[in-house]
Amino acid sequence: MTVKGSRILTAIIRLEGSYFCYDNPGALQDNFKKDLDLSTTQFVWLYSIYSWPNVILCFIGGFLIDRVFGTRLGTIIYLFILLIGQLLFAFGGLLDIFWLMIVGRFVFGIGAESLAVAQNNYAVLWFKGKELNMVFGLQLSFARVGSTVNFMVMESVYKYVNQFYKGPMCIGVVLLFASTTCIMSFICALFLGWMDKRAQRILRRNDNPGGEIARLSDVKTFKLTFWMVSIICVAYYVAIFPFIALGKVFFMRKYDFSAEEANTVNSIVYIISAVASPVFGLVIDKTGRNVMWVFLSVFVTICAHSILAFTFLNPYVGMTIMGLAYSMLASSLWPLVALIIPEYQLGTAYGICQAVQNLGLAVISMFAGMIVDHGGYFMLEIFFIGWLTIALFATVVMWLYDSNKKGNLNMTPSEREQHIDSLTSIASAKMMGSSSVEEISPEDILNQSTPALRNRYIRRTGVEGGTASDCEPLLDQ
Amino acid sequence: MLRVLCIFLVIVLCSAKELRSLNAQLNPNCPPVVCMNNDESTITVVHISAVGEHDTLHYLWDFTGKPSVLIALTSPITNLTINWENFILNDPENSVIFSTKPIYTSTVVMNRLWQFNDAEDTGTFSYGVNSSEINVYDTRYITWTRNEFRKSVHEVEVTVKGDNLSFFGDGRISLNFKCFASVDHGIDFPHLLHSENSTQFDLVFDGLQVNSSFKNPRFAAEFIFVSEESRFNNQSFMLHSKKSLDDEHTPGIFEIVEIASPKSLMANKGSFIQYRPVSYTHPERDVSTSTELHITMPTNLDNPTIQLNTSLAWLYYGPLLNTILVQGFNVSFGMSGDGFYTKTNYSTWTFIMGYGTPPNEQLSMFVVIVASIGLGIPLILLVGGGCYICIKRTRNR
Repeated sequence: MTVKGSRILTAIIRLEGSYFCYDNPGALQDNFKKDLDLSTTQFVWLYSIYSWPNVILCFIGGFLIDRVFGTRLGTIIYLFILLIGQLLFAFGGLLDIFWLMIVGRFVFGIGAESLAVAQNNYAVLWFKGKELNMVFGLQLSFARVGSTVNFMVMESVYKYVNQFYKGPMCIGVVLLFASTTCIMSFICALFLGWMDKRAQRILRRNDNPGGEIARLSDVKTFKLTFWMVSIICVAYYVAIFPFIALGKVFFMRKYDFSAEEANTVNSIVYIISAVASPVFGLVIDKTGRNVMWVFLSVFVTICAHSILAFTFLNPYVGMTIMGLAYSMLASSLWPLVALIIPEYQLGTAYGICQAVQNLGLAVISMFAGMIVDHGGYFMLEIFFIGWLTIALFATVVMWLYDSNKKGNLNMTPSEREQHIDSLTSIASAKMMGSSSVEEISPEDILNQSTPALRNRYIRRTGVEGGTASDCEPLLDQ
Repeated sequence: MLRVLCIFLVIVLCSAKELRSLNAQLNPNCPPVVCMNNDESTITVVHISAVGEHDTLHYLWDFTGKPSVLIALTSPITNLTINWENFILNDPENSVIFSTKPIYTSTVVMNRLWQFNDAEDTGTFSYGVNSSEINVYDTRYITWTRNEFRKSVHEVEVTVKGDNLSFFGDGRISLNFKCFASVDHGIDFPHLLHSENSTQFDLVFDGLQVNSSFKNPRFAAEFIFVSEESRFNNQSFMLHSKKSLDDEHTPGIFEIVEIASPKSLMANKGSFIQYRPVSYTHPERDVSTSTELHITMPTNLDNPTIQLNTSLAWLYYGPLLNTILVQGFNVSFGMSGDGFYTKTNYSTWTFIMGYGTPPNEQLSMFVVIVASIGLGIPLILLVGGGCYICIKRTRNR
């Protein structure tokens, strides 16, 4: 347990730097604008240069993990890129060169988003079938902690540094200070890589027993359920993040809140998710039935948005419900990908999810602002409920498809175990009967352990559109 | 849901119908002595008769003194005559004459403007708290120059600009009055809903020079609301605000405020003012340029006849002002933390004033359809999916 605990902890600290630094400009918005003499538009560039390239780049980043780097090396490389980006950003501040800052944010973005993909891979590699849901919950939770700490700390760091340095110099020094969190993350990544390598040696773990190679064309063979997960990734998250971005004025105007109160109620979703998502993850680990949980979270989120749109009930009610539902979704949705996609393609799969999510958020955020200007917040709420309806629809499609194909997505953990066993017996029975069809030579059988064979059989049949194994691409060993 | 939809259809059909026919005249029958000798565009009096089936509503917009609006409900065939000599000389004797006595009349006057130092940054204004932090501008000393006058049977509009070098430097106050034949939303922000019985008043403070000794300058305006109702029992205009879920027409503003005369509240036969509490800080009006607006309770005036003596209210009512319902209120622009008037040098206020009951805002057809789809599909999915699973389970058994 202590080994496991330290693994989880290090894995999470590794991400901390990225989340901490991502919102550095946001926490110092006024200081940035004043010291560097930025217009609001220029300031917004600092964020858009981060997000727009990742509409494509994190898909490539994910694929490179599968094909070239592997999870371990990929993590280290992406963290290195991230660190370089943050340093460029800081030096851009020090030297008061705006374009260098933009370049820094761009490089930082490439590293950070692909790193998130690698992180998901790590989580699956280590915790699949056991505490995976909880680990995903914890990841979300610590992401929130990272950005919250950033918002709390940066202002006072700025004030302190401002005693010694002024203007752009001050911003640069503060950013350099922030990059120490990235260095810390980098050290964690190295340590984690070492641990992983050791674990692999000791446990004689084979991450890719079938020796499969990821190809871009594999994307075509991804199952319907995966695409449904991607749709939910877009349709659900666009109803959360852009809403929170526009929420402050909504709470001030509709509920007559002061600016401070509005900020508090607006941040409640994140605060709740920091506490609740690991807890929900644990519950989902015990109960399984991920699809049901996804359905429930989307439905509850619709209720939360409806409370905010159609009633004058205290917004804390709606936002608290939304926070709980959001935590539940994060803990149940992301692990689904690992149940659908074989491990050797996971990087690509998570990359796709992240890429479409980035695209959705970038487009919808712009669109949401226009809706508020021309149709008001009521219309905006209806727009979000519409997106959630799409997410709900995708969930139902996934559910029906999975239950028709007798898949394992909505099974309890014990059912999943049984499912694996039954698949194994079918597989070995078939192999005894007609091994030639599967091109398995006697040497193969002699040289490989049973699980490896089982996996290989299942993977092939699964990937090539086989029958019983449709939703069981990889088994735990 | 169906009922709501039906109500909508009715409203949509109604709104397409012209309920009154407008007939407008600029400076009606003004003799050359009065209108030609002066620079014509500084004399702006607009008379509109909105002829309905059972009655006629007269609007008189006057910018020769303090900007004022008079509305009068009369029998269908009633004419209005202005006796220009008396009108210009500010003599209430027979200067505005209806051929038959109006059933009901009401007037709104923009009486004074204030510039005040908002030391506490609240956005609210109360007169008489600290007179050294308040500048007063009487609107009679502002020159109102006509910019635009447009008329049709559907809509009448006039825009005037007010200047006074010693008050506001190069800054200008822009007033835009509109009057409509049917029920609809205004074209410009805040898209107020107007009825065929109302006139819209839009006020812009554009680039006014501020008192340099004020650290936190803001503007406010005093309006006087006159209603031809007796003042007995200490009757008063009622100010109340209500909230709606829907901010479709005025994005970001969920509140609607009404000031109604006792007769309007009790029998729908009085006058009202209705507005959304929003002021825009930029000519491009939208959510990001909106700020709040604060109003004070309507209170009685000390000397209505003196206070109003260069306005249409005096010209029409004369000494009667001492016995009918006359109250004033202040409207101030801005809210805590918005950077005061000097941040953008721009403030606006839009309201409608009319006869009867204030129009009631309804959800638009579009919103209802989208909302029923958005909420209907999840419900259908829930019920349908539940049934499917139940049936499947019983079959499997």
